Amino acid sequence: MSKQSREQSRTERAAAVRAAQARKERNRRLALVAGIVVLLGAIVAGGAWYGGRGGNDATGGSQGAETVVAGDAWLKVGDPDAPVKVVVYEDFLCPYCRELEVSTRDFLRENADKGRVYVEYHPINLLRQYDYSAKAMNAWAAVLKHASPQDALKLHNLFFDKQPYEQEADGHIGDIEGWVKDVVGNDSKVLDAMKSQDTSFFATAQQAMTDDNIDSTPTVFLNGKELPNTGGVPQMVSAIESAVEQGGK
Amino acid sequence: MLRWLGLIARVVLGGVWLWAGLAKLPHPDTSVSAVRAYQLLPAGLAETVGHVLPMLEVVLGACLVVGLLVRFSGALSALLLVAFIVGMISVWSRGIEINCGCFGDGGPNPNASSQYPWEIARDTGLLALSLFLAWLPRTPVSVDNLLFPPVEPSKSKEADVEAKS
Repeated sequence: MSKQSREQSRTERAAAVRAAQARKERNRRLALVAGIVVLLGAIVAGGAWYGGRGGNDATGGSQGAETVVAGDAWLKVGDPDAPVKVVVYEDFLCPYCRELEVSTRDFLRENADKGRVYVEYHPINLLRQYDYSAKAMNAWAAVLKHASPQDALKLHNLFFDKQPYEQEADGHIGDIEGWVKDVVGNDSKVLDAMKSQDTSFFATAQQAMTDDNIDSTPTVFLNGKELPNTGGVPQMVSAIESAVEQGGK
Repeated sequence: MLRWLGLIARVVLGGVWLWAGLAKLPHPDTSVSAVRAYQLLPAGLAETVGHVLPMLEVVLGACLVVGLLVRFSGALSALLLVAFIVGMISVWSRGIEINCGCFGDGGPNPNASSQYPWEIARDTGLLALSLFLAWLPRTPVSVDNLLFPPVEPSKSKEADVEAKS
């Protein structure tokens, strides 16, 4: 073998070794990147799961049958003599009422069952520019009057869990009957009552709104004192939780 | 010089993502509300995005600050910022007045229309930093430099030695 061909052979072998090293390094980097991406993805997924683990229970959570009572145009949950009283004015279409409801539902239900808080839910028809708001409230009135308070609480929860966007809401009016049926089945009294607006129920709700000077939702009264909404829903939630945990002191 | 600018971009951008994510983490339902307020995504998807976003922002911010997978992080950051800019232009054009929810500050805002241009400008600036990092990911003081060191020229000499043996 000539010197030239020996040189050529050596160069080719060196190129092959370099290619193999480059391939090995590329594979190592790819495996490392994939591993890191999977690990970071798992951290994000774990964090998201942890944040959302409270979940939404449209069936009304753990309320005891004896703790839910129908009011004139509202629902009473818990012992009226509990040390903390929370009154919530809410519109079934109001997105921040939804946030308040989802953020406080389990906490209030759990503590109402323990006799630590009494809650009144006052659905009102504030967002009158959308027919959905009145239709949902009317359906809720029918369930409150003709089915059980527990069913009214379930529908209340379901309306917030299924809440459509405001700008699309009137396209979801047809869904309301289905959600009512999910709660009370084919109860003809309820379904018949939904066909026309319950004017006396709306008048009672309106009167309660006027009496308490309600002009926005959610409005929350904690032991008779209106919570400021300057800090948004998180601040309301904190105030409620602190009051209940301190036993109304 | 550009590499040091990259380091500054990483720290600024990572800090903003960390701030945004940490502000949202304690209030996942508020994060969901903020995403729903844009009225863009289907309700179920908005809920998932609202829960995923805070943690994603924290992890993305941390990756940028420590310099881990900088090209990937810069590209992801750019994608998120494009989505936020599109979301803001969309609510602005539909006359929906909300806080952007960027730093856990969702909720209605009657003066939102006057703030949208500034928020869009801010996100466009951050988008520029993200694209810069995706283009030039090799920056000083980064984990990437430890995990993925630049290929050294001496490797070819080693190959020659191996070939001779």
